[in-house]
Amino acid sequence: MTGGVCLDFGDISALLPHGRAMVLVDRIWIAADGRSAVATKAVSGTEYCFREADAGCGYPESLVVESFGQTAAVLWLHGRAGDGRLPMFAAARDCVFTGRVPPGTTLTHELELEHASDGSAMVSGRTRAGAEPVATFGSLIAVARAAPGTDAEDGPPGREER
Amino acid sequence: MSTANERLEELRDVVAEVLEVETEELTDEGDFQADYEADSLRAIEMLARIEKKYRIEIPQKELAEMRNLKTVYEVTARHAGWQPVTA
Repeated sequence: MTGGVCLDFGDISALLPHGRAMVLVDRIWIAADGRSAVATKAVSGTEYCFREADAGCGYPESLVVESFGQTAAVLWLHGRAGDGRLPMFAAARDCVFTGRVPPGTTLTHELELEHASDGSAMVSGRTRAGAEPVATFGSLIAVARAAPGTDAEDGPPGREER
Repeated sequence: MSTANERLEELRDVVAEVLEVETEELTDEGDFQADYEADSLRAIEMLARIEKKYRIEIPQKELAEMRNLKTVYEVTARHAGWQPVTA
């Protein structure tokens, strides 16, 4: 990828609200047009998820989604003026897992920003473990929400949450 | 150019997919929350898919009004510059 920007772990941690311990992306390359990104995440056998689980089961699929979703959030946030709102995962559709992610491999996410507005974004993409395809993501949707304790001027719809 | 009724049917497809119901099951005035068990995240997904499909932007505060297919059309039409649906 040429002409874009490369974000390291420190840059990514500064953009995401998760706190460093929960950041599951090591490096992200964002294309010059801000519409696509490639990210890597090294999966280590020392990670917390393997402490009590059989490493042979591979890296949990939920964490693959989280890592992909964090990359999507950074791709979206990188192109937005900071307004204090936080990205919140809203929905995933047509996500298919086709392979296992053993410790010692590197996840590579490839994302396209399908849609972005002031309040929401939609991405699609795929993930490899090394050279092996392990997941495809039809669409992930995120929404911008006011951070706790801030004025939610354009906040959640006025309907009861279930 | 699509007519208002054709666009209503396009929206029915989008909304039915998000609510995971058959298009024939989705009536114009069926309440998303009461009749189709939709929650606010489904509403957000609906809004994002409509924005993407028609390349428009709908403020999230409009979600409160988007309670059924008819009001989804009205909100979308307002932001896309469409005509009202004729009976």
